[in-house]
Amino acid sequence: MYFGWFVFIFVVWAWFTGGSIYGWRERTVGPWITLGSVAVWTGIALLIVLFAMPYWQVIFWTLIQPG
Amino acid sequence: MKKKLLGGALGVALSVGLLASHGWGATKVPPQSPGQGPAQTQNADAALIAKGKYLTTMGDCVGCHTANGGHEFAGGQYMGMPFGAISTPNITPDVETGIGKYTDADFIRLMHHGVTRSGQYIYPAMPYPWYATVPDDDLLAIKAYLFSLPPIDAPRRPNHVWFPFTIRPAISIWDALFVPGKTFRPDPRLTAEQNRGSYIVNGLEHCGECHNHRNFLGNTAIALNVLGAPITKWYAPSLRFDPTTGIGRFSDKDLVEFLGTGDSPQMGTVAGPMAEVIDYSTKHLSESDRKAIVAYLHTLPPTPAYFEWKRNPGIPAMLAGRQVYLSRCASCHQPDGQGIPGKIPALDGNGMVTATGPQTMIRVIIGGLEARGSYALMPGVGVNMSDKEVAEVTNYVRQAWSNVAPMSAGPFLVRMIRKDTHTFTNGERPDGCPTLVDAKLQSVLADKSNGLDALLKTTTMPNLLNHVNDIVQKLHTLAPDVAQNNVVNGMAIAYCPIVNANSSIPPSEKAWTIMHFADRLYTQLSTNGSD
Ligand code: HEC
Ligand code: HEC
Ligand code: HEC
Repeated sequence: MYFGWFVFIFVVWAWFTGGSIYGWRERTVGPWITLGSVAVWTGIALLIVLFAMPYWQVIFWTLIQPG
Repeated sequence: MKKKLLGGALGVALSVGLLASHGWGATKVPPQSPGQGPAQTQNADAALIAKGKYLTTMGDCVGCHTANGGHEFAGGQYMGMPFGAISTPNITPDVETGIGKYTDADFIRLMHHGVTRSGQYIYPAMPYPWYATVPDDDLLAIKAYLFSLPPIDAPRRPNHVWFPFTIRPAISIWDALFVPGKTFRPDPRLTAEQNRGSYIVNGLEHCGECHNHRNFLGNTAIALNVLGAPITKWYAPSLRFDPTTGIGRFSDKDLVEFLGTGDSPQMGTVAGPMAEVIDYSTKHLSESDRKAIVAYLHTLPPTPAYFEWKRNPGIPAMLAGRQVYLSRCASCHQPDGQGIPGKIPALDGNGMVTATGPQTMIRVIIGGLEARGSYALMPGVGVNMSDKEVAEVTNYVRQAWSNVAPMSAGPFLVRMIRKDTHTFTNGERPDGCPTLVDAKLQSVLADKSNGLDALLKTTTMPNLLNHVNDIVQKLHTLAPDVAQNNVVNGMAIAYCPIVNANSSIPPSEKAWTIMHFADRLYTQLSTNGSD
């Protein structure tokens, strides 16, 4: 389950971060902007995986629940 | 690149292991319609089959490999994992859909290494890390027994496992690290009885699958043996003999009785997955094997499961919890938490209450508990309580009287557990009720000519006393041999769809109505109605 969503999110993420890196190589933006935007896109992708999909529950039941 | 891939695979493998605990609260779904598989001719001798039958019971294979109401060993039960649900396969000797094609070597490989005949790695949701310690002879006896059963045509139901936990080869890395490579050998420092217990506990009975304390790698060989752990949405308490945080305050006699019936004077009653372990497995073992289990547990050091911290009863959290306790629980469990011997279990010193984690207790408050032995049925009182109230009363009871368990329940945990807890009014059937399992009672209720069904359908709160009286009289002649607890549970379940369909009862009172009925029935049966 959710395989299709992972592929979709990965493609969009790769496209956006790829664009940031491309911009750096073309010297349209500096390295810090690139780094920052890669971090932001990665963060957004993670947030979507964790919270728009139910993956946060895996973390809850394995790491957060008491005992 | 290669290194990265391996790292990723290892990560997935470790997480699969970490997460692959059991399917508690697995939704059980009706079985496939049984068909006829090709007949198997197996001439294994009767003694081997009898031995295999006993060992199969010890392994609790039927507990997982049978769907609710389905054919024994035909699989089809879903087991909930934190990352989806997995269905159990058919392990009858059917050639197409079962394990009919398994050779002896295939079967041993599966049980020792978790690899199927077709070479697929299976999830440790099947307790092969425990079965790995069972000697070949014993496994072949199990196989002989399974192959003596009629083959049932029941194809595997689809798994609903979330990506990336669907990547089965990743499990092999976890296997290589954590599945024991050696079968059981008696420890010369232990007595014969203790060694027998060790063989059972660390092998077929897989007690550690639930009771081993998990570490960051999951429930592995290096996890702390039976020190207690959360399993998906339940908590399996410590089985060390520490008197406050473990089972040290219970006598051996009580422990053996608990494993044999699911209730005992000191320990109260059993709940959840442990109830299945007892009903399908330990109950059917010999008394000497149950004693051996307890004798083995005595050989483990009595390590405390948690730090004892008695909280001040005057703090706001305790005062709030006490209020809830007095208004919602004390009428049955008594203000001093001692319950009523043989009817209502004590909460002071109760193992479910003093467990390291509060999960089991929260589930009991929300879901209630079926009648067992001479004990009554506990209503799902939490249905009408807020998440905050359930958390407060849980924390209070865990700290009241002689209890010193951590106050670790919170409203969010309650909310998460509530989603998965079935009560009488949100059971797993389409009509929202739980499934009735007692076959005798089922046939009596299905027979419309005896009037029991009609009587039940017209039972309301105003005529409760009379109707329950009549119901008890009727059951006395129609189903004299059904045990009291099964009558209470079964009749409450039969009454459930009637209440659910009755639109004049507000939703908030439905659970209460069923419980009130069950309570009346219990009182009647346990006082004058039963003899
Ligand atoms: C805690 C639940 C549980 C118990 C107890 C259990 N199993 Fe399983 N078993 C499973 C699950 C789940 C699978 C499927 C795993 C997978 O597909 O990854 C499985 C798979 C199997 C298979 C593989 C079947 C195939 O399709 O190739 C066999 C054989 C098997 N179990 C036999 C047994 C026997 C024999 C016992 C008792 C000694 C037993 N199991 C006890 C849950 C359980
Ligand atoms: C109507 C009476 C009644 C009320 C009200 C009630 N209980 Fe129970 N409770 C029982 C009975 C009866 C059992 C034993 C059920 C069985 O037979 O397994 C039980 C069992 C339990 C258990 C499991 C103990 C064991 O050994 O089985 C816990 C924990 C528990 N109750 C907590 C509570 C809490 C907390 C409340 C209040 C929020 C509460 N109960 C309200 C009757 C009640
Ligand atoms: C499927 C998971 C599972 C397995 C396997 C299992 N248990 Fe449990 N056990 C639990 C849970 C959950 C509880 C808490 C509920 C309760 O107390 O009824 C529990 C409770 C207990 C208790 C009561 C503890 C107390 O303090 O009240 C004892 C004793 C016990 N288990 C012994 C065993 C033994 C011995 C085995 C192996 C034969 C075993 N269990 C196997 C899940 C499991």
